[in-house]
Amino acid sequence: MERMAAAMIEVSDLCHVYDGQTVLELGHWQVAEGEQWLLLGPSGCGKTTLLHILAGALTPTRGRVRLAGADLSAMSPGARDLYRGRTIGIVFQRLHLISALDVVGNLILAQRLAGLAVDRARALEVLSALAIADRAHAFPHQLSYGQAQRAALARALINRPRVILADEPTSNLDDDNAERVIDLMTGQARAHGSVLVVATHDRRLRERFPQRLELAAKP
Amino acid sequence: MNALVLALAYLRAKPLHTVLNLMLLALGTATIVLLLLFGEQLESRLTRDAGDIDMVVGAKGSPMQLILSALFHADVPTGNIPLSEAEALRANPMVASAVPLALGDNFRGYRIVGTTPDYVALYGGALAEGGLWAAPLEATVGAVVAAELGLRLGDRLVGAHGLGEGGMAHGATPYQVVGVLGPTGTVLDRLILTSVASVWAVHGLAPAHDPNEEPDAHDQPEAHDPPETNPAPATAPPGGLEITALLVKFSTPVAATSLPRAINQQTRMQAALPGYEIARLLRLVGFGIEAFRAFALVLVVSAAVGIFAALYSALSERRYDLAVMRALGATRLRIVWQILVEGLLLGGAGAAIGLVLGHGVAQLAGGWLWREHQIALSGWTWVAGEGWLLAMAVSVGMIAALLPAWQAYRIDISQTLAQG
Repeated sequence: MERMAAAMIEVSDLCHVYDGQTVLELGHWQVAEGEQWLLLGPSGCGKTTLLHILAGALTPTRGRVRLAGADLSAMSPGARDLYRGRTIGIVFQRLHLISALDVVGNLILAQRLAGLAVDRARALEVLSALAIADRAHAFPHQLSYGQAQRAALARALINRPRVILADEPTSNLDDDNAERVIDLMTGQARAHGSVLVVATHDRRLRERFPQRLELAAKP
Repeated sequence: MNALVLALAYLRAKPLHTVLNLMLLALGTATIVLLLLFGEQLESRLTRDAGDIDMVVGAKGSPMQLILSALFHADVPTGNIPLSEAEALRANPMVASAVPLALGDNFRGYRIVGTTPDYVALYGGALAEGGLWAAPLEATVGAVVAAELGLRLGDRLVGAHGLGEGGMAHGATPYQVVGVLGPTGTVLDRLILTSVASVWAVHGLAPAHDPNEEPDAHDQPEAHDPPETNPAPATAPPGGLEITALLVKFSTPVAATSLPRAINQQTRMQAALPGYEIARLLRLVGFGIEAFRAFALVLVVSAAVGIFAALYSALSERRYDLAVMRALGATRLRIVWQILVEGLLLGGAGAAIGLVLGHGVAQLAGGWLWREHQIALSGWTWVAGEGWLLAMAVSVGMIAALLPAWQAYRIDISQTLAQG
């Protein structure tokens, strides 16, 4: 049990069936504190499904997931939502900034929804760290793609998550920009002492991550 | 970043939708407010003007017209009644008091009423300055008349024939203002009072003294011949002197059932009961008010449909936003609350704008109604029904938000995010 206490993510005997099809099967997988993992595999191999299960957004058909020491499937839905807000930072492929709010508003919303106190100074600090403090009061449609990506990353980091999940963060980017985004993510995850799990089919990222989990394509 | 701030941000992000929905709801609410204000003020005004007069007696014709002309001074009289018959009625033991009215002239649109001081007492009027009329051609004016026309004690005013402005002037027989009444909030404020004898004198009938002592003069204040500019020669008309109406208070409740019928069947006069006629009038007006209210409800319902459509269509655009909010830690209930708050906000704001609009329009329309029809309507009062109205509008917003909120509740984070 001592060995398990250090595990930030622990998955055992996971299976998810959707529409009669097994979309994900994973025997045992464990991520220790501070590790950075790449989830690799072709489209449809279950990367996003695994990510959603890790985030507590999807309940697996079978199996157990422990995240930062807590059993997600044992929680009530409301408790799981709050736990997700406080423990996990998610970077979506399409960013999904809330268009009605400016950048700092998006960050503060993340604090509120996780049930944490509003801390503007913290929001500006994260934006500064990502070098977009000057865009704090811009609305999402006024941002360049690069700026929007950093704003989305800032939102994922605002609550000092112990786990950062990113879904295809580089799929729309050229080599230079993909490199820059991964630099930012790995750097920030290290700075925050967070686990980073990046799901991608982007093979350019292979050499950046020593720890990789390859999911096989389903027949 | 609470639900309210976020709701405001979303409403601001869609200004056209927001403004249109607010307008629909505000117009519906304003119309209802206007009707409430008008209905209530009309009713209280009518009841106040009716005072505790039990019966109005005048010439035969429409009882409604008799009430309107003699009680509210809002229509032309049905005609005149012989003074002798009026006097006979006054002597009836079932009559506690009977105040005579002689109508026919106006001064710049304000009616000149020949009557006795009892008429002032009927409305609880009190002198603000000067005294009541006593000598011939003396007049005491109501508070509104004095204020609107700037009349002071000692001013002279020349009556014109008819009850509206522009009649032929009685230039040779000006009245002198000897008193001004304080405001009563009744029809009294808008009248110029003098003695019945003065009205006769202006029209060249009979000597200017008390009608009771002069039972044998004639012609009518209403329908006299052109040479009324020449006043004085006190000719006694062959038909006997006449007055326009008699305001009667009963000495016993039994009178209400027997006396009006007796008058209507056995004399050339007509008796009308204010309570009955006012109820009839309010029913007639009430029908119009009901029609307008139905129309206003249609506006409110379309506003509800508008808010529903806005929230519902926004929901499909906002599926990702809502899923992201869930991913950021929002519970299902928090999402539901978010949508409800937006509906409540639209409903509340629309109702508030509607209330302000309704009162503002009532005040503006009040000014116009007063100038054109001497009907008082004020926007600066609060009607009891408005609290309900506000509650209704807020509920409309909330009910419109219920289905979208339920849809938001059911959003599957994983599926939604996977699509995006």
